[in-house]
Formats: sequence, C-alpha cells, structure tokens
Amino acid sequence: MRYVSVKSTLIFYFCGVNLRERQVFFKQLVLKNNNDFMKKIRHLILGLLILLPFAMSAQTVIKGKVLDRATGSELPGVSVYQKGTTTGTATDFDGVFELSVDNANALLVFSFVGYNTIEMAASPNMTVNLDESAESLEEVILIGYGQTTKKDATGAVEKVGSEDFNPGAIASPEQLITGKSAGVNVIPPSGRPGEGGAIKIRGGVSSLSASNSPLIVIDGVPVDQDGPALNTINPNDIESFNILKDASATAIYGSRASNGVILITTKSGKMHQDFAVSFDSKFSWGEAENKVNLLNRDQFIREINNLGVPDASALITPYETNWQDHIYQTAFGTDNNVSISEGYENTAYRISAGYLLQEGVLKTSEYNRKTLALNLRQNLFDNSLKMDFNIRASFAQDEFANEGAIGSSVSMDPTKPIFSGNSQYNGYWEWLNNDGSPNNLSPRNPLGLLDAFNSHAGTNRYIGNAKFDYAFWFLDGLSIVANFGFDYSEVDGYNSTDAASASGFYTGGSNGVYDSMRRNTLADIYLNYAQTFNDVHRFDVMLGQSFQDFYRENSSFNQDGNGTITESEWASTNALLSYMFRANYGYDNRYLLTFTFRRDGSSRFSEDNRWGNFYSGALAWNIAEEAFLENSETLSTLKLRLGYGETGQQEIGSDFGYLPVYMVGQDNVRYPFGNSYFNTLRPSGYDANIKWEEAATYNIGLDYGFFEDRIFGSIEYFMTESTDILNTVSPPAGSNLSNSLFTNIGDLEKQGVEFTLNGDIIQSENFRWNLNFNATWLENEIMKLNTVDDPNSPGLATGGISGGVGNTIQTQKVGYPQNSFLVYQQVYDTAGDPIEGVYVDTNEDGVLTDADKRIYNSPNPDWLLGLSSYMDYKNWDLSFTMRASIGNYAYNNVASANGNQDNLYDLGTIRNAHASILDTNFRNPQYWSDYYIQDASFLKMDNITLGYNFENIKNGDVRLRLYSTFQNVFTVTDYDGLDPEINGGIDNNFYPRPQTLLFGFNVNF
Amino acid sequence: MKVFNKQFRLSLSMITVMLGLVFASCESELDKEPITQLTEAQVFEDPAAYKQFLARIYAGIAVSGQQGPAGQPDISGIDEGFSNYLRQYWKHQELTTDEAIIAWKDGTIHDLHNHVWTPSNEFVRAMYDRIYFQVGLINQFLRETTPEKLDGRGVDATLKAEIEVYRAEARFMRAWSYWHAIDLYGNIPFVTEADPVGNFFPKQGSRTEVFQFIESELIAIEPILVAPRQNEFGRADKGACWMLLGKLYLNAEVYTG
Repeated sequence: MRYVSVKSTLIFYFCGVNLRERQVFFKQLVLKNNNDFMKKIRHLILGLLILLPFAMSAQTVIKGKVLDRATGSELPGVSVYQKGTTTGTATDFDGVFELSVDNANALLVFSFVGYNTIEMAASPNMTVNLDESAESLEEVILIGYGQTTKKDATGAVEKVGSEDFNPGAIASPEQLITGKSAGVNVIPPSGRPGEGGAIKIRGGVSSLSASNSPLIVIDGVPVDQDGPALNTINPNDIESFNILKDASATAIYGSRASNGVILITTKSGKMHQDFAVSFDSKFSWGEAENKVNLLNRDQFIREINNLGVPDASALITPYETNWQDHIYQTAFGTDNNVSISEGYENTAYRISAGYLLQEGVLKTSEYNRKTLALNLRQNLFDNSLKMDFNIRASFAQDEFANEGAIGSSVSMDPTKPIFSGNSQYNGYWEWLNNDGSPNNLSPRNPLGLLDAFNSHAGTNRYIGNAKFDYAFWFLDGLSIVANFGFDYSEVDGYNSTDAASASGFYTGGSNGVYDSMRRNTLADIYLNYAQTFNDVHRFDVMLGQSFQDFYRENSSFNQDGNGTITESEWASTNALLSYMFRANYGYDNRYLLTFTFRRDGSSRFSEDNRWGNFYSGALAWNIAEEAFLENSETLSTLKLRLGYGETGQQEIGSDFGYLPVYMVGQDNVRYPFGNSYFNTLRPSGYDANIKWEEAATYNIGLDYGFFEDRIFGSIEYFMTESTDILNTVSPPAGSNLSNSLFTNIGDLEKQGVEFTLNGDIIQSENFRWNLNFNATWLENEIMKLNTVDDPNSPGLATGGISGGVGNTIQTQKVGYPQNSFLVYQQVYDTAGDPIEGVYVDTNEDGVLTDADKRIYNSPNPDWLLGLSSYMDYKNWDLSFTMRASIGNYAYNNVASANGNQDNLYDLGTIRNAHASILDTNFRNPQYWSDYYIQDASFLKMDNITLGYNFENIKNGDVRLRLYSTFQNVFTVTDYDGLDPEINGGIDNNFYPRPQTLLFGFNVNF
Repeated sequence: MKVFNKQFRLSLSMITVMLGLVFASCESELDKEPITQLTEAQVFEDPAAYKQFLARIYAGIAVSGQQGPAGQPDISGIDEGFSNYLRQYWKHQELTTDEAIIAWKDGTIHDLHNHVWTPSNEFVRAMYDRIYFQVGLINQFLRETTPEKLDGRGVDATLKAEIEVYRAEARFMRAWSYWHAIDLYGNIPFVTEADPVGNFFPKQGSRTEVFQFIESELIAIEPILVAPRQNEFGRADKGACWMLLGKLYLNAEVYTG
C-alpha cells in the first residue's frame, strides 16, 4: 500500500488492499484530522460510502490559464485534473488554475461543459485554449434504456436542462418546465400549497379519462401513474427533463407511453470534481390577487330589495364584511437547499438536503417538506463496471384548509358580521334556525369553517435505484445494464371537525384517520451493443427485459360525535412484464434508422388480452452533412425525421376490471333474515373483454440550425389515431352490473404542429441575450363511439358541475373534440343582455328540449405559445417566461350557480350573488346557457427574475448570486372568472393562484 | 472455422446462461389475484356466500352501497343518499301526484312535481339505473347458482335444495323490479341470466312481452316458494308472489294494450 502523508487531497483508489488494512488506515486518518471540521465532514461522508484505500501525492505545482480559443476570453470553472489520478481543481474567475501534480511532465485533462475536452502535458505557466463544441448537437439525450445525442436522435425528443428551468417558489418538479417546450402543456396547479400541476404532452388526449398524464421515469424508475404526487421530489435535485413526444421515441415504453414519457434525471456527483458546497435560500410572499367578482354591499342590498320580498329585505343587517378579504392571507414561503459533492478518479458523490415551507393564501393551509438525497457513483475494474446509486427521501407535511370556505366566502351574506358577539359556535356569526341550531341549508361562516377544521397529512416517500453498467471485455461495445429501483411512499392523515362549531353541530364533531401506502419495485436488465464499423456503419442495439410490480393500499376510519363509524380498507396490486428491443443504425452520420419493439404483459387484462406488441420505426436524414451543404456558412443543421410508432394505455382505473369480483358489505349495511343479520355480497361491474387502448402516431420533423447553431429549432407535425380508447361510461341499462363502467369506448384522432426557435440574439463580451420561442397547434376529434355512434345522440355526458345533483356540461360526441361543451344557445335582447330561459330551438321542432342543446367549443386550446428570454449584462441577469393559450373556453360555474335571484333569497337566508346577475337579471339558474361558456384565451407572464452575481469574493473561490423573482406577474384575458387557466375547463370555487414576490441567494464554494 | 477464440466462446456461453436466467419467464407473476375484493372462485368457496348474495338482492331495495351511510355506491351519477331504490320509487309515485311535495331544490326534483321531467332528469335516470342494478344483480345470482356451477363447486344436497328456493326468490325480486320498469317506463331493455355481462345494447322488450315474462316467472316460481308466513323474516313467500301477480293483473290492460 502506498501511503505518503495525510495532508492533501484524498483519493479513492481500488487495488488489492484488504478491508482490514483499509479500516486501520481510515481510523488513523480520522484521528489525525479531528480538529478540522470541514475534513471531518468529508471523512464522515467517506466512511458512509465504500471504505476504500487512498494514496497521496503532492509535489510539483503547475500554474496556467484556460481561454476560449475563439474569443480569447478567460474560462472560469474549467475542470482540470491529472490524468490517471484524481488530483484536480477548477479554474477561477480569471480562468487561472493552480494544481499540484506528482511529476512535472504529468498529463492534464481539461474539460468544460460546452467545450471539447482536451489533454495536454503540464508545463509551467501553460496557456490552454479550448474549442467550443457543437453543444446542442453533441448534447446527450436520454431515450429510455439508453441514450443518444441530439445529432443522432430520430424521434421527437427534447431535453430541458436546469439552465432553462423556471425560477421562483416552486414546490413540484413539473413547474420547472412550464412553457419551456413545444407540445408540452404544464397547467400550473391552483394556489393550494405544495400542489403539483397537470402535464399534457401533445394535448394528452389519449384516453378521454381524467388522467392523461405522461409516464414519468425518475432515474430509470417509472413511477406509479396512480400517485403519489410528483411534489415529493425536490425540484432542486433535478438536473434535466428529457421529454419523449412522438411514438417512435415513446414506443420503447409500450403500454404506458400513449401520453408521452418524461425522463427525469437527478443531479449526481461528477468524477474529478473538487469538494463543492452549494447553498440556496429563497423567501417569498404571495397574495391572492384576484377575487371572484361579487356584488358589493350596496349592490347586494339593492338586489335584495328588488326582489320585493319583505322577508328577504328584513334579513339585511347593518354590517359590512367582504368575506373574500378575510379568508385569504399573505402566504410566506421559504425554500432552502444545501448540497455537497465531490468526485475522485473512480468515485463521486453528491448529498443534498432541502427544507421547503409554503403557506397557502387560504388561511390555515400550509405545506412543508424536508428532503434528503444521496447519489454515489463508483467505477470499478478500469471503468468497465459503472455503478450509480441514488436514494432520496422526502418527508412532507400538509395542513389542509377546509376549502368549502372558498365557496362560502362567495355566497355568504355581505351584510353580516364575522363574529356574533356571543360564544356560541366558537363566536362566529351563523345562520340559525328558530331553535338556535345552525341552519343546515345555508352557507356556513367561511372563517368558522376554517377554524373548525383541522386536517393534516404526512407523506413519507423513499425512492431509489441502483444501476450497474458493465462493459464486457471480449467484445468492444457490448455492455449489460441492470437497474433495480423502488418507490415507496406512505401517507398518514388525520382530520377533525370541532363539535362546538356550526359545521360540526349535527354530527357532534368528527375525528378521522386515514393512511395509504404505495410501493413499486422495478428490475430492468438490458444488453447494449454499440459499435461503428469501417467508420461509417454505426450500430446501437438494445435488448432487454423489465419487470415492475405495484402494490397499493388505503384505509380510513372516521367517527363522528354521534358514534357513527365509517371504515374502509382497500388494497390492490398489479404487475407489468416487458421485453424490449431497439436497433439504431447510422450510415456516415447522414442516414439514421431506428426500429423498436416492445412486448408488454399487464396483469390488468384477462389472459386473452394480456399481451400487447408495440412497434415503431423512424428514419432521419442529416441533410446538412451531405456534400452539397457540408461547407455552408449559414446552415449548420438540417435534419429531416420521419417516424411511426404504436403505443398503448393500460391505466384502466381498476386492477381487476376484467374479472367479476365481489365486495363484502360492511356491518352497517347488513340485511336481516329472521333474527340474524347478513353481510351482503355485491358483484362489481366488469368487462371481461377490456383491452389495451392503442395509438398509432405518425410524426414528421425538421431540425434546423443556422450560424453554427446560434439559431436553432425544429418544426414537427404529428397525427395520432387512438383506437379502443378507455373511459368511464354508463353501459346500456341491463348490459352490466353497474351503471358506471371503465371500458374501451371508441376511436379518437389528434394532430398538431410544434415549432421551436432558439436564438442567441446578442453574444458580445458584456451583453448576451437568448430567446426561446415555442408554439403548438393542436386539434382532436372523436371518430367513433362504440355505443353511441348515432349522430342524434347527445354523446357521453361528462364534466360534472356544481348546481343540482349529477348535472354535467360536457359531452364526448362523434365528430367533435373531446370534452366539448353541450349547451343551449342563448338569445339576447337588443341591449345585448341574455333573456332568461330563451334559447334557440336548434332542431326547429317548436319545443325547447334537451335535444336543442348543441356542441359549443371546448376547453382544449388551439394554440399554446411559450416565450423565454434570458439576458445578462456584466454581472446582472434578467429573465422572464411568458405563455399564451388561444382558443380554450371555460364554463364559469361560479357565475352560473351564484348569479341569479333564486340564489339571493333561499330557504330563509340571503346570499351574495355573482356580479353577472347585474347583466343577466336571471331569476333562476340557467346552468346550460352558453352565456357561461366564455373564451378563456390568455397571455400570462409567469415569472420575471433579476439577479446579480458577485465574483470576487475570496479571490473567486466563493460565488454568490442574489436574485429576485416575481411570479404570476400579469394575465391578459377576456375571461370573467377568477383565472382562465382551469384544467378541464369548469371553473368552480378555484383555489386562487397567488402572485408571489421572492428573494433568494445562492452561494457556491 | 474458428471465428472466435476459446475465451470468447466461453464468455458467450456464460452470457447465454446469464441471460437465460435473467429473461427466465416470470410471466406467472402477471397472474394477480384481488386482495380486498374476492374473485368468483374465492367467494363461493364459502357455502354461506349464497345466502349473503341473496341478502344483497333484498338489501338492494333498502341500502345505497356497500359501506353505509355512504361509500362504495351501487349506482353513480347521483348523490348516493338520493339513490336508494325505495326513495326513488316513492318519489316517482308520490311527487308526481298532489299527495307530496319536496320544496327544496334537490337538482331537478321539482320537475317531477311540475310534470316537466325529461330523460336527462337525474331522478328519472336514477330510478331506471336502480331497477337495472337489481336486474343485473339477480341475473348474476342466477348465473352463479345453476345446478352445473353448484355441482362444480361441490355444494351438498341440503344447500342445493335451499339454493333452489333462493333462486325462486331472486326471480320474484326480478319480476318485481321489471314490473316497476314497465309500469314507470313502458318498453324497456330486456335482459335475463341468458345474456352476457358486457357493454352492449340489449334487445328491447315491449310492455306486453315483459308483462308475459313477469307473469310466466311468477307462475313458475310459485310452487317453489315457501308457503305464506312460513319463510324467515325479510324473505318473500308464496303470499308475496300472489300479491305481485294480483298487482300485475290489476293493470294488465294498460301493460298489454
């Protein structure tokens, strides 16, 4: 064992030293350095990792400078290390480095993101020039069970790296890429703290069912599409998103790929990297800027008096309360993250910890999350075995508010005080019956609701994987990869309603607990063979198998003050077994060919329908590499891609939807025969023939780049034909055991165009400006419905609304986009106001019936636009993200349910109304008037950030950045409701998205 | 011809063996069984299951789901509390007359009183769904209690004789719901245990056809049913059968035109 001294850089070094020697050595080292705190931490980390021997060396000091060959400017942060060792450093802000090497002729390796790595013999005061690499082209992108470069990709795959992420108070990872990628619509969550947004790739319309989310794969582990939410992953640990959009790219994920696939790579340690610490802290304050447009006190009193009902007018009292002002608060938030990382010759690690606290703008709601992530990479046997271990833990705590308060704050009488002046019902003013009990049919005092409700839940999630990549010695290019992953989460929740409150009065309060557990385990094994023959024939072949097993369970127990107990317990499981094959062939970097095949078996289908085969093929032609364009000064990239692929959907809502299963009734629904009570047995509805939803996608794309890719982008056209789409429908009466069945219902077609343009508009020494623009056009149409193909049929009702019971506003109908609104056509008077109950008799049969409702627009946008700008001037930087959606309509359910006189005075109480009543003067609710279907197109500025970088702290060893972000800056829209961006298009008591001001800093040393 | 050297061939066979192990079929892992729900095979292992199933048929006119007071509802598309069979039946019989009124606004409930209901009225729909929930449940019971199935499960003779009576009672309950169906809706989808479970349009039965079916069913089961007042509390007997036949004949002219 070579042992020099214990004073300089530690080196992980794998040679034939036995474990005992290593341990003894390690102990010595720890003892000798116990007065040095920093080193102690490092040693502790080393101890946590694999205990390995190390050797020391420290003799000659080499100084030098690294420059950009093209511009001559100094390059800071370039990694420099001695080849064959782990002695390394990085250049400072002047591009200067100083490195101790063990001999004066050592070979040094210089590497830097975006530049070609070079090796150079050490010499005193050396100057090194680095060449910029064709960064966007050589960039590695993940394609599932392997990787490729942008240049060699044949499918529509887009990578969004951390440099493009949205800044701001972000609790859930998907918000990092809102507006950043064409065809990817991330609908931001409501203002509920910690909530994640909805992701829709290319409209995500495959199955008509509520969840059309893409498959999310974290470090190779596909997460359960059935939850838990993505917000348990700390966004700060994410390095990049690779978005697979077209089927030629997603087909390798077969039966789960119809809605696209997002591969998330988390940050990891890098080999040959100095010990680095990064600390990031943010503080934010958010306000609910928009409120529902209600009658103010004077308008309200006028409307009540206009009713001409003395009993109603008598209920007005001389107080004034704007309830919406009282339920919302300034929401404070903070997000703090620290990470340390270090890389040696064969070992690298990264450890990070985070703490996030986010109050909700609705009082009493709060979310906090502690996260811990550990990554360890270890190369063995001369780098032929690469191991990558990830484990991340997150502990989230939700405090839920009673969101019924949002609805109550809309309808609560504005002439009532908050407090009654006596102690009954915790002092809150409530509508009471003559006997003093709360009026059960009136709105509750929203503050009383918030106060009486206590609900919290803790979510612990552990997700990890171990990946082994072994390159065989006997055949260059052949390797085997094994990836084992798990995702375990548990939720522990509690809720109670105060018995002394008005909302708890009739039940005597209640107490409930619930918990759930989700577990999935994954084993992937695949062989990879990549080789180039005769310099022109490049092959890349993958053959593999994957097995993933899912288990889920829920249970709940609730007891109210009257002793009524509600209990439930549920558990289920499913599994997926897959074989996959992919072959890439490239000829001379000009012609690229990809073929993939996946065979998926899902336990969710009967043996007859269990297996599905999913094929795809793609062709790409690098036109810019052809002789006639090779020397073009302007055109740097031109690639034409053609792809076809088949994908499926196996999220059918039930694990045993093909089986007749029976459910035992609980004790409180037993039935008496004679003197004994029998627990009942109920068969569930099922469809023995339920099968995969299948989608065939055609894609044509063109990648382009000008002026060495200073301007680059792509344009894509795609068309998807989905067959046997899945949805919950009402089967014809008598045909099944339930009136609600999840089954294959028909065919759907969608098409779209995506356009991306990236440009470094200005690139001077002091000022840089980069713009990224993306646009998406989308269209979808239902082609066939198995049971309601009749053109006169109103279709399959969907889109439940508030108002009445079980009422719907949308439909799925052949020849129309999914979730189209089905409404009456309102008739207007000469003043332009709607006439109550007067609608167009569209079928001209002389009577107004349901048959006169017609399809009128849909919540699906025609166009989605995104614009990101980044500029820096010296040490200042300024960036913003803007987004637009055009052609999407929303149903203003708040107005339709609350904007009428019938609502003003009801059941002996008076209630506030939506301000639309001033225009409509509706006496009764007109739920199905197209007056309430409003154009919800919008332009939003999601965030704007100003930052300043300090570079000269401690000679550039410490880097500090201060920044401030303003989120949800403005919204331009014609829509009358709270927010035009409502997932699903039905706007009803939406938890408002806050406008947030954030200050943050980031230190690296 | 020696294409590969010995070491290579050795490794190749090693890999083949390894892959063989790795890719060894774990396809049997896809044969999952429900955990908190029971499959047909699991349910009927217990001889008591037949009576529990029968209890569900009777409970179908009283309860709204498997969890009580709410949860795991039998039918969806309406508030579970509103969805109860007898509540719906009572509403249709009473609110459409001047004998009763519900003044508050449970959705479109006033339409019943005002005689302006349409097919999209959720109460009209819920009654319909309730009837067909009962019919589906009973058809499934009859499918699962055929002599062949019982023999296949090794049901003993005593229980088989009891199940014979259960089947007659189930058919009585189906006749009762079909009578509501022709009384309230006229011509209706007509399914029996001979139809499959799926997602198809059943053939329509005219009032007359269903009337004849109900009549023939009641006449067929009458000898099997327990003598009046001799059955356990909560179960139908011959008396119930006569009652239903009587009600059917009373309105026979309306049903058969």
